[in-house]
Amino acid sequence: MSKENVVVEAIDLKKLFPVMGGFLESLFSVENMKISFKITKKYFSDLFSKGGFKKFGSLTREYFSTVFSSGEERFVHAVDGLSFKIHRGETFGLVGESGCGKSTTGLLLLHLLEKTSGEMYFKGEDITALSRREMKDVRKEIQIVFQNPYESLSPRFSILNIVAEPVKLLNIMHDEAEIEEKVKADLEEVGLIPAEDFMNRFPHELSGGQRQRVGVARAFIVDPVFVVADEPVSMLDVSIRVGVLKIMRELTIQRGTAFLFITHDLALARVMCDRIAVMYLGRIVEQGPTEDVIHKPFHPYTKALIAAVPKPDPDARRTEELPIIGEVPSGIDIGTGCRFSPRCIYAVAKCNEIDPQLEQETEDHLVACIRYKDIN
Amino acid sequence: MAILEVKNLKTYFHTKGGSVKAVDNVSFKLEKGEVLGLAGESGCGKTTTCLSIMRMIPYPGEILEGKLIYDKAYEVMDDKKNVQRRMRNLFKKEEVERKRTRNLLNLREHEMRRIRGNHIAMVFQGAMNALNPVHRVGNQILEAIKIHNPEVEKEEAWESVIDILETVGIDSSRARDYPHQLSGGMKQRALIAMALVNNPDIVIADEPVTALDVIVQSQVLKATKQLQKEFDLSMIMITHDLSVIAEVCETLAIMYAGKLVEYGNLRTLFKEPFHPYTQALINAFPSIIGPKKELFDIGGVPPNLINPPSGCRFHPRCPKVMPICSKEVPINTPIKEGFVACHLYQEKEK
Repeated sequence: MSKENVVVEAIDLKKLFPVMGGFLESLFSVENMKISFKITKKYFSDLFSKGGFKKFGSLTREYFSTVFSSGEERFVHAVDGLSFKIHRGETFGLVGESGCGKSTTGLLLLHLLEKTSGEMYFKGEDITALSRREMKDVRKEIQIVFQNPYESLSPRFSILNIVAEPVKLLNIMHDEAEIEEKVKADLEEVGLIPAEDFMNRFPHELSGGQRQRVGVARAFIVDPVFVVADEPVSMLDVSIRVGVLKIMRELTIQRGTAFLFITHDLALARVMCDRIAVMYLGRIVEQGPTEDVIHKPFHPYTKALIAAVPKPDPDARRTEELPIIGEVPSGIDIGTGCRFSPRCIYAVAKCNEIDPQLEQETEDHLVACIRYKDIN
Repeated sequence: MAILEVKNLKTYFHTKGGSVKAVDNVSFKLEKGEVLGLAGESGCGKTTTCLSIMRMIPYPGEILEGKLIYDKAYEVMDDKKNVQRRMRNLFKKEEVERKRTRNLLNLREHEMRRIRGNHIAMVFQGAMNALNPVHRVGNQILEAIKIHNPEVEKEEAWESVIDILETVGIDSSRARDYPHQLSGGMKQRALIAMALVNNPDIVIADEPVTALDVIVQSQVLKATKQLQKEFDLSMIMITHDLSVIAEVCETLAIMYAGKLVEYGNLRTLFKEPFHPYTQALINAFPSIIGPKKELFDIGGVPPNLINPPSGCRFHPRCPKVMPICSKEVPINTPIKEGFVACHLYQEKEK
């Protein structure tokens, strides 16, 4: 029954897009983005000289040697050759386990981390090498909602000041009264009603859900066309989570904002996203319309991930083994070939040699696996 | 015959602002070999209930009332001859019917220590922080054995450490590793090993997979299920994630603001939840299977437990609220193999 539903939805989407005209226009695109972090022995010895481990006495040396045994420089390739496009008004999900580079990607897009190589285009313009000052203009249109509402709001700022800060910093409005009016409207839109009650409070006076609403309000006050949401609800309780998600959904629909929705929860991505990309160790392994990817996954990793998601239905208990071997290896010095091959149950010798690139299975369903045709 | 019976448990925290009624009149039974899932939002008293069973409530908390009936409580008492006398002192007004006491709350602190880890073990929340970073994993498990059986030879104890690590799926070569050398999933497995090493009757697992990634989570849950069957363990699994409970448990207990609102068979409750809160909670969970559905927003926030709402504590957020809800505390109405505390069903009973 569920499969029939999916087909209907897929057709609907395709029919819908041409009608909406410019909807499919690419808003933000990323090409071959890479970032690597260098870790050296010096990094750890610095930590020691600052006295970080001193108090453990004789254990220290042993502890140290297990943390870092080799002397040379090593690299963590957090994001390694990432390319995707986000269309105007769509919600694009980045899904993956922790350490796969999804949050790093989110920060890269806003120039909050500097990439090693790669290009970024926003509204057709190259924003790869913008200076801090030039980036300010772009930030009027690109905003971010952070993961942890307990840490991302300054405890010394009132809610009014927190939400008004982007407007002031980006020189959008100058008149205090006007700004206050705008903040009030914005807070009401995210469901903090009556806004006057909240404006003069401080973050510690709010609950987790209310704080994250403030985070959403802060991102939306400049009317951005593109918002990165980095695990916006993972710190919130279930009953509160839905309220925040609904508000984000409404705002996106009302204002036509495009979203990059970063999450580790596939079930949540299914509710929120139009298209999703599954990441593994800094690469996208599969990308496509949400229902397609979830019901007809091609990549072995996606298959394992979907099988692993706990289902809120006791009759759907999984009895067989997960189609995956071992645990995520460290991102340090990944060899050639497919990076999923050590854990893949379908891996052959060729997988260790060829680095698979994203191929088109259907028009918008991409998969990076050299054997996907054999195993499906 | 129930292995553990919690009767009218009340645990309050006495703070400056007033008493926080963290657990208020909670009663349930745990059968031998049963896996009970205790679900609810954060701050609803799930963890406090289980810490009360272990009698590990920190200051300023206090177990005010209730009974924790556990059969082997008598075995750990050191002055069994004096039990009769102690019993008379404790139950001055009650008639002493049984010859032995079975209530964990009557044990002295040093007697309770023999229960913890040995009869009732706990897997703590947060695999990342629950292990001591400067001791080898194997030695930390060894410590659990040594405390309960000081006379065991070290070599013998080490062998059981290796055994238990292999049972939970960790290679024996990792026993000499420090916690930071293990991945998150392995740390969680090590914690489970530590809980199982003394062959406890009851294992309480507090959010055992919350901090783990889905694939690892699924592997750990599977291992937990297998171990539970193998050792015929009785388990209480605390989690806020109903999908996790759906994967492993047989019985479901839903807590809201310090009270049990619904208790019963898992399959029945998932198909046909009675309490409006359970219904809302189940509908608030996104699912990867089945048709795509809109998520249900419960709205509102969990109440302050210093001054909980009058009557039914869920009534300010309840979609099916009636005038009686704010006046009277609902009593537990029996339903299929369990109970529900809601006025909707009380009406029908009358």
